[in-house]
Amino acid sequence: MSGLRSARGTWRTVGWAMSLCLTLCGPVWAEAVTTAIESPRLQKIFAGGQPSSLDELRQMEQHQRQLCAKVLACTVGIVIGPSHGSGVIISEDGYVLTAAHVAGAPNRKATMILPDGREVAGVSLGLYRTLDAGLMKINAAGPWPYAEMAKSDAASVGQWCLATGHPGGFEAGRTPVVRIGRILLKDKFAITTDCTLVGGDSGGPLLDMEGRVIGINSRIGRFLTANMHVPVAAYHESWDRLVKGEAWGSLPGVGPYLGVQGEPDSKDAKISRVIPGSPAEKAGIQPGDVIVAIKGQAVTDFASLQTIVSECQPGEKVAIELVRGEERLKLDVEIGSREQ
Amino acid sequence: MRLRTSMGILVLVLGAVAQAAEVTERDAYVVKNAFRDIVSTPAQSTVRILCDGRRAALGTIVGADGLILTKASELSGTIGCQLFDGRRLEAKIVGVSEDDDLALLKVKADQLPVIRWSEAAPPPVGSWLATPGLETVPLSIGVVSVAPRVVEPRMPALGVIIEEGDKGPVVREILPRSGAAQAGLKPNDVITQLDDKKVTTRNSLVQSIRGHRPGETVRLNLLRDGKPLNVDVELLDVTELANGETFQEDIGGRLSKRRTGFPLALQHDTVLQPNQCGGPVVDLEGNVVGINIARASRVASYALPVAVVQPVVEKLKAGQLVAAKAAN
Repeated sequence: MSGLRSARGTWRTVGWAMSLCLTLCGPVWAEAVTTAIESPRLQKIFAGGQPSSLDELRQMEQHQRQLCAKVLACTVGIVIGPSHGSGVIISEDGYVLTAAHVAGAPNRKATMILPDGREVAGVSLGLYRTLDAGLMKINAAGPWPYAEMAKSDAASVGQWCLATGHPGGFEAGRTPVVRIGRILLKDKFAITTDCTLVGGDSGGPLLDMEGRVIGINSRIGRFLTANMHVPVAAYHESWDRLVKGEAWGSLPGVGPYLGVQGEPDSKDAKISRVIPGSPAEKAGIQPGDVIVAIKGQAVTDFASLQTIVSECQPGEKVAIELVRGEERLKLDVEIGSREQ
Repeated sequence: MRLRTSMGILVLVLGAVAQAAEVTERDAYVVKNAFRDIVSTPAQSTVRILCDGRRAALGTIVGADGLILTKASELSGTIGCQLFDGRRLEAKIVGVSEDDDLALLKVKADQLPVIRWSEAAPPPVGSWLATPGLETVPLSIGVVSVAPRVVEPRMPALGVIIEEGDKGPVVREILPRSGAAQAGLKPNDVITQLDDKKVTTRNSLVQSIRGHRPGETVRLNLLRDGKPLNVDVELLDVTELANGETFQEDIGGRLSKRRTGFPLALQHDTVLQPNQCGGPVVDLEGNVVGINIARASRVASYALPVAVVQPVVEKLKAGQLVAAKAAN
């Protein structure tokens, strides 16, 4: 792996780039897009400080513009099965980091869309599902423009960062969409930033302000400050297994799940269907039951039932009170998770 | 929530993340405070637009004699303007440009400070932008996400599946989370009229809807169990309705009703509320690079670039765009 990430421009790679320019008639760079921060003051701000003057804002802006002009070339749109996502090229021979839930499964054919709209064939490799880390590769040899992977411990809270991707899926005439923000939280499972993300951004890169990959866009919460990225350490630690196309673990952060359906027009939370194999079925809930309380919180209609369930944690044991005919029952249910 | 467009399942990642709203955020007060000098002048040309007393939008002073530009689709009822100096003035609509969703208002005042337009090319991706409010620090800040591009209009939809019937088109099914669902349409309702247009067939209904934009509200005349009934239905974006996109996109804040169909829009990552659109967005020189025209999604706000706005302002000032809405 080290050979993939350490390559800065050598005469050999420049030579390749020139010959490809002739054959493909497009600009091809074989160097990493890393953009050094020259000024010590600017280094300090981007590492976790804040600008305090117009002059500092100008310095930040100048660097942000240079960085954006380079990094967009490495962001790809990914179409794989029915799913649309994003990815980032991290080596000149075309390894692409993405999210495990975008890749779906190893060895699937994918189409990668470069920012200029060119489409190239690719394939999914390994998936570390627990951390939502996925690896893919462009089939053609390259050389491709790429962003270096940062070291595992590179990200810290307060640090400035840049996220790109294709929100809503690749859109012709729209370059990868830039968001600049800061790291708010960091642990083994996720880097949380205020770079807002939405469907389609998954798999796109979170970069430090020199253009190295520190994370991969993964999931969001209700708040605009809840944007989660897979830490780059997940890829470093499992690189060999990912390259071999192994898939392991289970997807994190999946939602709480009860497994009942109701009539949308109904004035109460009357259950019309119980999903086979669901936590609700295991607990003995039946069609026709009217749920009146969960965890002691009153349920007045199906919408309030959904709200209370959405606030439970998968694995949590809750008491559900319901009315069945003339009887009032209390059942214990273990809340499941949606994707299992 | 998984960030894949093909998935409609909402998964909330709950936890302590909401409490992280402190100094480490980009939009922390200390960061916004660094923009204080930049917005000090344009803030004086920024106006709060009040509709029936409610904060509906922001506006931009484009004529010293009381001419104010704003977002047309947010206007309703009695319109007032609150100036930077605190004055509250009644406003009248001079004209509306439907294509850009811009409206020109007139208040009785003179010697108002007119906004200073940028004469430079649009700022490149990664450039800082500040949105002035009526205060000394910016309302919000962000960066350019995408260079100006055409944002195509989307198709509007009631959110019903329709069958042909004897007395007119009949509602067969109602899509969840649609305007029709919210308005309480029911299966077997017969649609007889849309606004002032008689509806006789499924096709005539579709044609009438296509004359509108997503975000607009239409009045339907219905027959329910043979009895006439009127309901107001908000038209939604047909693509978003079909794949449940808004469900995900509006997590974290409300979106502008009119958020697609612009001749040219500069996309930026500034977090705005729908009622914070209509005002100026400025570069680090304090020059106006555009007018915020929509909160478009969780990740995007749109600004109409100066190159689009200036010719429209000239037409509006010359009285060439007097719309029906300007009659009040």
